[in-house]
Amino acid sequence: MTCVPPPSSRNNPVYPPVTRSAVNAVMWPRHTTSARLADVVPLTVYWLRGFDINEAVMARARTSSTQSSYIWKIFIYLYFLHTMARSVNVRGMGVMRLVFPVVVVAVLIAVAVWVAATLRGSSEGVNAASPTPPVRTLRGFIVAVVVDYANESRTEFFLDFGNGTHVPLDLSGADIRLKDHFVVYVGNPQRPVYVWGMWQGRMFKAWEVYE
Amino acid sequence: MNRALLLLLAAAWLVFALSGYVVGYVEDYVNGSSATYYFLWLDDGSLIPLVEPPPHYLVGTGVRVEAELVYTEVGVGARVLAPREPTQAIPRQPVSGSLLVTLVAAKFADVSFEPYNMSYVHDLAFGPFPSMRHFWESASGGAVIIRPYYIHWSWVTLPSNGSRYCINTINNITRDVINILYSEGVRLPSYSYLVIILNYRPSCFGNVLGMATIGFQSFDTPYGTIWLAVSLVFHYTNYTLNNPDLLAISHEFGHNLRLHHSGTGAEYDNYWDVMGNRRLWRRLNSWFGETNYCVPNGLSLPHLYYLGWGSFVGSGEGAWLLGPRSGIYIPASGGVYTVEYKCGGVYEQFLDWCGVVVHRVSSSASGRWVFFHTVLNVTGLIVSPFNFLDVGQSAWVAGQRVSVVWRNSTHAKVVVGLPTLADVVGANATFVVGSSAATIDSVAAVYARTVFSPTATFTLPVFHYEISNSRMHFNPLFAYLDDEQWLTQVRYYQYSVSSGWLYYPVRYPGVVVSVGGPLANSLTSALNPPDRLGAGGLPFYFDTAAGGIKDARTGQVWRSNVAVVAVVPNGSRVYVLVWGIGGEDTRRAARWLAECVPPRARAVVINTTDFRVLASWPSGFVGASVCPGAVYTAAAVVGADAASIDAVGAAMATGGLGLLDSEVLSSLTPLYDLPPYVFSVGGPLANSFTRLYNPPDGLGFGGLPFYYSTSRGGIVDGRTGALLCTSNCFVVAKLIDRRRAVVLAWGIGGHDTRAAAAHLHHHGRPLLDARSNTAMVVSWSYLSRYGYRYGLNFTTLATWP
Repeated sequence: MTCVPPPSSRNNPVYPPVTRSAVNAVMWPRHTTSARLADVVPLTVYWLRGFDINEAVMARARTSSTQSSYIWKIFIYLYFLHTMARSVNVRGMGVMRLVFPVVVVAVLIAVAVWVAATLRGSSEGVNAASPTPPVRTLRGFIVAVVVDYANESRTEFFLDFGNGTHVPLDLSGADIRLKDHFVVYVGNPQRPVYVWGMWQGRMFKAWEVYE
Repeated sequence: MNRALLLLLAAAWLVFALSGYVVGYVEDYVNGSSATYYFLWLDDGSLIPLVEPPPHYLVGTGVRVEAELVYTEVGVGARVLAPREPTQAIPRQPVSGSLLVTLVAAKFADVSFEPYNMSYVHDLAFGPFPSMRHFWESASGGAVIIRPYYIHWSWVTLPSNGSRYCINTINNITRDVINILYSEGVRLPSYSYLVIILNYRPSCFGNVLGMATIGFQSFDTPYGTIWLAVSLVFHYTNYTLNNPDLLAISHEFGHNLRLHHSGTGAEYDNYWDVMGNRRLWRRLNSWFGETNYCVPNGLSLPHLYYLGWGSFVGSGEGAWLLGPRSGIYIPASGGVYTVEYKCGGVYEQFLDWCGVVVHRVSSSASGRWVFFHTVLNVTGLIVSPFNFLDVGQSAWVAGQRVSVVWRNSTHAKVVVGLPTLADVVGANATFVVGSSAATIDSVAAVYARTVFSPTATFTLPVFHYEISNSRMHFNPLFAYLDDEQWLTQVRYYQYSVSSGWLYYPVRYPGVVVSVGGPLANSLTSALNPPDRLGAGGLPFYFDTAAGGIKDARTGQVWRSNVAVVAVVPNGSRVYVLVWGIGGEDTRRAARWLAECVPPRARAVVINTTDFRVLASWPSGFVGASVCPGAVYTAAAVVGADAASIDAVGAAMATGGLGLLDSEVLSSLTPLYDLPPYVFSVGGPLANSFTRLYNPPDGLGFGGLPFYYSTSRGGIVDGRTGALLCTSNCFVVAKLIDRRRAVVLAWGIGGHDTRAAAAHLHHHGRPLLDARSNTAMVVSWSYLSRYGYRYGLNFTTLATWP
């Protein structure tokens, strides 16, 4: 990722408001460039352990530093098919339940080939055809959770969109350009901020925080 | 022309911004009216009239203020400025009014254990002292009211097992609790607080005690989006079944108020702040009966200021009076340093010590912004219980000397910058004399004590867990010989499994008043050695070749009737040096301290005959001293040939006139020349004045039955003839003679005599208030453990009548 000037150094910066598309970007970033084994393994493990898909997504966000991928949507689709299949408990459907994993694997392979072809094609094209760049400016509220252990603690920052949506926020190394002391903004619904940075999976890596 | 004049005045205001002290006097007229005049007293002694009355709490307190010049029709005056506030460096987000708190006890689906009944849960959060509500309301000084919004008076069951909450814990639990409450018709108001007590700690949480949001977060609910601050407190140990952990719930709620941890490098290493998390289990009798309660440690000044509950009385150099919820700050490149005093608050009373502590305010990527600052040269994992300043202690903070010179249970006087003689007047002090000095040197300490108040502090001297878990009083000594090492106060600072508590011994607190010259007192010699500059560049020293006191700056030498009085911070202590060319000069120097107004200089050379200041450091204070005099209510008489410890023992007994027995007895009217109370310190063989009232081998004045038997080598009770003791004992007596109270304090040896004086100080009030002749024989011993002496123990052997 090349480093571009921060918004505050530009002339007449235009800051995007909080929109549904911005929230969607949080949930489903469209800047995926690759699908790796590291994406697949944790989800599969969680799936096989019977965890809820949301927890799997959260776990993946915590354990992986790569960006989200189309493969997630595929897995979720498969998860729904799988759940539907498990819910079928009609006498005589046993054959169907045996055939189903085979269908799932076949679909998985087909889609994987399609994704690979698509990615190769896009990389050969011009940049204008590539997806939305991962660098974004988000507006919200900085909130934090402190976990108190017996002898240490952990503080996790989030960007709160004010609608119950919290995006994990990496502030390490961020340039804090706020009028008041940083602590004044944390957990303060009266002091929204702009965060300029890039997505790293579900984590938003902040480069600059400003008003 | 007018514009030029205004510019000139504006420039003058900038140039002549003033700093000084507020003084005043009242003229009372016969018709019942009065007039009060206030002045700004500058460092050079000049007085500028104040054009308007200053705040009353600043008058005559020695607290430095800032002022501005004001030009009036009648001339130039001054106006006291309000204390400056650190507007930028220390954040401020006041919290006040009612805080709506919802309290829920929640069970994970897979564990049915209910560790507490709801009465316990309620009292933990909202009960009387000690409780979360009581702590935060008292910490805020009434600025906030914790209002229970809703209490679910039974345990609710979360829909999932504990392990299902390992990820995104606080959001998932909060959402489930919100839904449970909603299903029961309860809607949480936005900007309210939700405290959730959990019934156990799933293994995936490790050793988590609690977690909380810093301030508010938005939550999507069936009734719309609301902002909540949420605390989770886990049941982390069964110890809390019988011993309520107030600290944990109060600490998490502190996060909800947007506070973060305030330790040193270690986040929880702050003994003086609820957000430091050092645990204080104290046995109390309160809402859960008599048991151990883990009480919160109070709230540090940066947090108090942030929440709008504390203030700063000033910043930078000067003498400042720190009180509850108020302190000072020192701006520096690495952040702002705050200085505060922790002692007598509702929850601070449970701290092991009273002390002045320092915090640094800055920001870090972790979100922390208040850091406990170590001031003494002891570092490690857990050092905050050690790193505080008691009276007489001094440390460098952000390039400035910070010294504590006085304190009581609520306030402390702190000097930022190098302290002056005027700053240390009234300080809590200890007194040190040379062990082989002449008596007249040492008795000067009696004069010095009239200027200073002795330190007889409550403390935790040694191994307090074996003795007590609260501050105690062990009859400590505050008068020593230079070759004694009294390690009275011992502070623990870390517990390790392998070596237990690590202790750091500190000499008994107090400004150390070292009496006697460098040739007579080794402490004076170390700080102000002959023939070279003293500590901190003190320019006055004894020049052995010239045989006098020399000013190194000018080369001038004074050879007679001259003495040095200096205040010298060195290492982590503040010392006052009082010494003259001869013993009488030393005594006169101490008398100068007692009877004259010391200038705002760090050291002076005085003429001991007329008390004229011959030289000062820094310069500018030469001239006649201002000496209102003193009314002495007591005198201490010691034998002219007695041991030095007898004399310093006199300073243990009283402050006042310091006299030799020969001086008193040579007077034609010895008793009438003396104040109402005359303390005769030292036994009949060492002090002629004592012998007059309590001769050996026979009854004393008024039939006093206790006397020293030369043949039996001990103290005898003349009523029975019994030998009461031959060592480690003493006699204290009050004898009424011609409207004077003659108080005797003497023992078998010098240490016994000093112990007698200590007994008078700590336990002498009934005897001193007696209206007839009274006496006691008391045995004593040092309280000591592992070589540390930390006080005295007394046992009464006999009384009279």
